[in-house]
Amino acid sequence: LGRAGSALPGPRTAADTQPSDAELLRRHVAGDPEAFGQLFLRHRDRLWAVAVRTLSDPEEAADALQDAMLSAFRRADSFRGDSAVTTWLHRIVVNACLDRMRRRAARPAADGADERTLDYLAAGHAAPDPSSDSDLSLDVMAALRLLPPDQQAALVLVDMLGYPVADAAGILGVSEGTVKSRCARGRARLLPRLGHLRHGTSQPKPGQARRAGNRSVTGDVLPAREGGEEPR
Amino acid sequence: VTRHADAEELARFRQGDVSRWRAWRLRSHLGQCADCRKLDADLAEIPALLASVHVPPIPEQLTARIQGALAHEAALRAAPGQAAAAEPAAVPEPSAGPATTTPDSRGARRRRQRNWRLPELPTAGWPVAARAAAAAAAVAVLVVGGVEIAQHTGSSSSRSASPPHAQPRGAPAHGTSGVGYGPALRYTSDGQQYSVTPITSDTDFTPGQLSGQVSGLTGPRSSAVAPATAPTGPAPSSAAHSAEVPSGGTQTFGNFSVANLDGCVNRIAAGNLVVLVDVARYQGSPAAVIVIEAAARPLEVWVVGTGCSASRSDTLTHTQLASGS
Repeated sequence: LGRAGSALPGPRTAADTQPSDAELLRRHVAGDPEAFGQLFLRHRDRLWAVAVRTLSDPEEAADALQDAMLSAFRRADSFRGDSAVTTWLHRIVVNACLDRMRRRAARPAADGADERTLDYLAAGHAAPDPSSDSDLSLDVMAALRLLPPDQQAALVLVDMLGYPVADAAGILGVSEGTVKSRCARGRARLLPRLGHLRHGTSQPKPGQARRAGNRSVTGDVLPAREGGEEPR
Repeated sequence: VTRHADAEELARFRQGDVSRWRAWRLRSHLGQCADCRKLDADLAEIPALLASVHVPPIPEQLTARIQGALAHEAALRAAPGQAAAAEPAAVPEPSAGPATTTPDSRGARRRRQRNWRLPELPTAGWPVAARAAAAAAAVAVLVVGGVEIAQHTGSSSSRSASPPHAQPRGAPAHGTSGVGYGPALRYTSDGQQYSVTPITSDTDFTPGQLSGQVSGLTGPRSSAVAPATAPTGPAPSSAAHSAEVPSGGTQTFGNFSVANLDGCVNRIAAGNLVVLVDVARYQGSPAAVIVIEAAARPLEVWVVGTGCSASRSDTLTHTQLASGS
């Protein structure tokens, strides 16, 4: 159950020719200097997707991801295999982001964060009218940022990235009920803030993720809801 | 008529997260109440709106940076004793000058096969520094373990209370203003301790000219090795760091706390060699320019704000110098 197999999507390359995540982590703990780097390369896109959406600032997300990877590197030997390696990695990234969000709450907004985010988002749009798409994304991210960190994290995983609630619960280390509750509260709080955007975007654009679609940012189709680990 | 629903309850209802009884009541209420139906319809769009946020994939530079940090961490783990043993020796000998990128432990062994070619710093090729104090800046290249290491030495007109743990060697002291030297910052690369001496070139870096300005400081790779044209000998007493220790106790260099700058350099370097740390300005605001040499890649230039520390990059911009520049 989410142990040998992965609750979250596995490697993009053919799984049978590549060592499993668990095997890579085991090699890392045994002293293989390359193994953890492979693990990072394998999952970097989706870990980045989580970090950059959670923090709404590419610079902070970069720092959080780096911190998280170093942290995971160092405490890999504490991984007990109770969850999938990907779940564990996601959890460390999300926690690094939450730490930063809480610290950020205690100090004024980072200078230039919005500009950086807008530049960054604009770079991701190849649409004919990138500015409107990235403006919309920026507005959504700005609204999201006003929510309590726990609700943000739940919405990033479930609504933005389409992770099943069970997986999100495993990543966040809470029950499925808690994830649902955070999502519901978060959506309700977003409603007034996104009111001006709703009507232009009710229909998802081709290729864009619908939450039911379980699609990751890399374009992989995530496996439909698997067991995942038991929420703590 | 049942009571109106609030948005949170409707959101729960939408994900099947209310009791059967409440769900029945809500359904029947929605059948009668246009306001609540509108609220429900609006709520239904929120997940799609969230899913519509598209962000670019992880930047290649960030992948490289984290890979470097992990490789560095792996090297540290492989040789924990060496890094620790190197620690006491991390302070360069006074006669060695305020070396930038001086390995403090012996036996350089490169786990990664890097083609180390640090930029050689020409004496005459320092447009930026030259503007300020060309004569004050002497440059040398150390060759350590087959690795060419750029070294800035020089003097400055600084007034300093910081311990001169890295005395400038042989830098002429004539007419100096502008370029100042800070206390050596330590960092590790491949498990070895290095130190880099930050400078203050007084440059106001700008986005359009950044590459040129930095190339001016680091010099074309093909240019001649800058010799120790400066006379060797006891460093003039005036040649000291321009770092200051205010009465408060926190040592600063330029607008940076030295502790933060140290953490920042380690963070940005992420196990790579640091070619240059220039505490200067970027578009008029205090900033530090950090140039690192990553394995077989162009020099990377990071411009960071004064918020940069061990835990935060505060990156203002980032670019790569074209190969050969």
